[in-house]
Parts: sequence; structure tokens; C-alpha cells
Amino acid sequence: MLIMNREKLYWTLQILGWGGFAFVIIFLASVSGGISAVQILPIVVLAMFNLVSTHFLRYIVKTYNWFKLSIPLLLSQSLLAILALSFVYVIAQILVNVVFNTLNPEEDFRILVIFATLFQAFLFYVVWFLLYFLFHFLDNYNTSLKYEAKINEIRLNHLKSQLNPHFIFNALNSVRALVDEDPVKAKSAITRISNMLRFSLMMDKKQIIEFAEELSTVKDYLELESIRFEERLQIKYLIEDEAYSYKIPPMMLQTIVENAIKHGISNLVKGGLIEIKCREGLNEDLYIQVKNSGHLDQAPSLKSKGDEGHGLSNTVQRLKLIYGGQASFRIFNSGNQFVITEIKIPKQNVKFK
Amino acid sequence: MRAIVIDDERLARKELITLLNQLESVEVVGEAVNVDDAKEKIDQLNPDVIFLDIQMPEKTGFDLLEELENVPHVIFTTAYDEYALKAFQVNALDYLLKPIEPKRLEEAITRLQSKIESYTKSEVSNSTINQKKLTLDDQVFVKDGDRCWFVKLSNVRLFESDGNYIKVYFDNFKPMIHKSLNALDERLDEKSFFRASRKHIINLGWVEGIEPWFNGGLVVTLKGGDKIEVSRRQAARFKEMMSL
Repeated sequence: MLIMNREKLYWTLQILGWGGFAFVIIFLASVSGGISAVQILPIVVLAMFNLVSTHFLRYIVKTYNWFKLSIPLLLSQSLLAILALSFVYVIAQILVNVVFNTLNPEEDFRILVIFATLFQAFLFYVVWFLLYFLFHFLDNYNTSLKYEAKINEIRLNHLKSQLNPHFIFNALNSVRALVDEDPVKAKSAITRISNMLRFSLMMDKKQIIEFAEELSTVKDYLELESIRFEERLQIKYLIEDEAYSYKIPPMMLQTIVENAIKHGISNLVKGGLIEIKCREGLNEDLYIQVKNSGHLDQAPSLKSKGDEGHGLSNTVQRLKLIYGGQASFRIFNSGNQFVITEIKIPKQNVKFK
Repeated sequence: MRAIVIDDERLARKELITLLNQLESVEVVGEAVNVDDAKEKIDQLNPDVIFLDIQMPEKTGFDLLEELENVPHVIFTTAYDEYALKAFQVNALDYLLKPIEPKRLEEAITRLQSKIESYTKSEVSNSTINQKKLTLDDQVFVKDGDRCWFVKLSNVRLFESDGNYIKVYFDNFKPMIHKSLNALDERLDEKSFFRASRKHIINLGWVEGIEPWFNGGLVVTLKGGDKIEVSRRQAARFKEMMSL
């Protein structure tokens, strides 16, 4: 569709351009001193020659993909091509005059006249060339901008963390056992699972949500995990009231806590502690820290390549896409016993909606 | 059938044991909370089958299989672990997805039972005297990086020592296991496997051709084209074994 339109546009511009060119010359000639019908035809033929020759130029540009050339190479090559075409034009003009019997050898073969014609042709071709490339670059720029925006959107949607299926099924499995052992606890676990499922379905459409919403999901999640891990999991919350005035990307804290469980607690035979600490910084930004028992042997990959592993690269990319450079992410060992994951989120200024 | 349930989560163990207790053919003789615990219990109780969780703290279910000398029948239990299950290249092992469907569990047990029965039959016909030795019908667990196999020994044509490792040749694969060739040699049935040299153990069922070599040695060609040199010292024994 787009290609069809562009081809059509090219031909329309070519015909209108060179048609207009012929028209202007005829018009000017008739205004300046009258023009006979015999003189009109050669002009039209020459305009047609220009149309064909520039089309040939376009063919060369496209087949040898001049768009990919470096600027110096492009300049020198196009200059040569235009020069060559201009010579051809001069010859064509003489031939046309011979055919239509309008050749005036004394006048037309003077060096000065030939040079003037050459220069004129050169100018026309340069203008044509500039217009052609200008249009092309504008068009390209436009589509690449649109493309970029679309890609960003797709990327952001893709980066959004989904509920971890491993967790869901493990939780359901524990609940199955709980039904016999402690029906009341089983009921509350089912409610928490449905809360989480509902949240993960609803937040799909949003880029950021209220801090409180995210925190309550994380609480549900940790409650469920503590059914699984029992005495192996201790949980601690240290949340400043100011935190509730912030908005944060959905499932981001959740992902970090899930990581803390996966790489921290679930790897320890004796289990350990998860501590969530949220406080406001000096510059209207929110610091969220998740501390878990465990140890980082090596820095987790924050580049998108480490697909398996920490899933933290997603978080880093999301922060960048949503907040530009204003958010930050760190993960580090705190002594030998704990790992801290920290994100900093600015109060407003959401770059991407 | 005697079973051990291995899972780090108490509720998961409880749930599976409840389900197993409803089946008459299975007796749960023990449960273990991690790999070390499991190793101890398996050595002690010698179960027919283990129900094994893959994700456990410190060591995974795969690590356990690698560490075991005698691997009982294994049924994996996992919540959702495409990655871990994909690790199995050749033998689609039996696995159960948590929460476990009682019907699926029953099917898995039935399948396993017929497998065990066919095993015992062939064992009787082979009249294997030494139960401890690995016969052609036994399976070994092999893990190389991300990929795992349960390989029937009859499919293994060659063991080749390589430093502290042994390369196990079967199909188009040759994964490495961390073991010495001497230790392996002691565990293999000498009717089926032959120590060709310091570097190689060959599966006699795969021998296709034998040619004399320098110094009274031999070169054995295996189906598939591998050529293995038999040292002079072993050549005499080899001839003796292969002749009537």
C-alpha cells in the first residue's frame, strides 16, 4: 500500500515537474517575443528527455543503493553522474534541433552557448537530485520516528512482568494441602491468589499505578509464599507514609520481591528474611529497597541478553523507557548475609504515556 | 512399590503423600527435604521409586541424580518448569505437574509398574548373579551443561576417559560425566562391557569388526564407525572372550 503510493507519487511529481518546466519555458518565450508552433515541439520533447534521463538517474541511485553511501562518496558520484547527464542533454538538444530543423549552427555551436546549455542542464539536474534526496530523507525520518514510537510501546508491553506461573502453581499446590489441614487459611489463600490474578489482569493497560495498589499485591504475594516456605520465610515492612503519594510502574516491586525469593530464600535450606523499605529522598524521589538473605556471587546481568537468571534487565529497561534517565536501579551485597535491590523513582515526569 | 517423596516444601510433600496413600500399590517409606537428606534416605531405604522436585535449595533434583550411585526409578514433580523439563533430550521421563491430578498420578504408577515387571523378567532370564553390577537394561543419568539424558546402557557404545571425566558415547551425543574410568569399570557388567585400554571401555554388543594391530594389539570397529585400539595386554583377554 505504502509502496504503491510512493511509486504513484514519484510519477506524479515527475510528470508535473517536467511538464511544468516545459510549460514555463514556452510561457516565458511567448511572453518575451512570441513563439511558433515549430518551436514548441522540441521543448516538449526535451522535457520528455529530461523525464526519462532523471528516471534513469533514479534507477542508478536505487539499484546501487546510493542512500547507503558515505557523504563524500555520494557527493562525488552524484556530481559525476549529473555532469555526464548534462553532456548527454547538450547532445540531445542538438539532435532534437536537427530533427525538427530548428538548428542554427552559427548560434548553437558557439562554445559559450554550449557551456550555457551545459550549465543550465547541470543546474536542473542538481535541483532534481536535491529534491529527490530531500524527499527521501524526510520520508525515511518520518517512518523511522513512527517506527521508534511503536517499537517503544511494544517493548514496554513486552517488558511488563507477568505473574510467574511457577509461583501460581506452587501456591495452588500448597492450598490443596491446606484444604485438609487448615480450611480457614486455605480460604484466605484462595482470596489472595484471586486478588493477584485480578491485579495482574487489570494492570496490563497501565504504565503506572498508585504505590498502595502495588504494595498490597506484594503483601498478598508474600503471604502466599510464606504458606509455602512456612518458618523459612520472615517478612518485614518499613514503609514511610510519604511513599503512598507516589505512583510506580505496576509489577515492578513485585518482580524485585519475586527475585529476592527465587534467588535468595528458596536457595537457602534454612530460609531467611525479606525486608521492604520505602522512603522519600531529598529531591522528591522514592527509594524502594528490597533486602533479602543470600549472597550475590557475581553481578547479575542487567543487559537484555541474560534471559534466564534475574529478570532484572527488564526492570532496568522499563525504568529507562518510562522515566528516561531520572530513575535508577542498583543491586549489591550488604555484608555477607544480605542482598539489597534498590530502585529510585521520580515523583512526576512520566516520559512515556 | 516403595516410594520416597523428595520436596523442600512440607505442604507439597504432604499433598503428594496424601494422594499416594490412596493408592494400594504404593507404600511411602520416607520423605526428604533436600538433596543431602534424600541421598541418605535412598541409601538407607533403597526405594523402588522417588518422587523428585526439581527446584530445591542449594542442590536441585538433577544434582541428586548425578550424585546417586544407583538411581531408582524417578518421577519428577514440578510446578511449571518448561526449562528444566526441556533439559531432557532423549528420554521423556515421567513427570507430574503440581498440583497433581490424582488420575495422572495413578497412570504414572501403572506405567512404572509394568516397566518394573518387564525389568525383573529380563533380569531373571539374564540370571544376573551380582545385583550391584549395571547391566545393559540399566539406565544412567547423564547431565552435560543444560542437557540431561537417561541413557539405557545398551545404547552406550563407548566410554572414553578424558582427564577427570568420562565421555559417554551414544546416538550423536558424547556428554561428559565426572567419574574415573576405573570406578566405572568396576560397576559395569563384564559380560557386556570390555576394558579395551587405559582410555576406553567398549560395549561388546556394538562391536562390528576386529583387525590385528602392531605389537599384537587389536583395533575394534564399532557400529557407527568409531575405531578403538585394544592394548596388547587386553587383546589376549578379548580374543578369549569373543571366541567360543
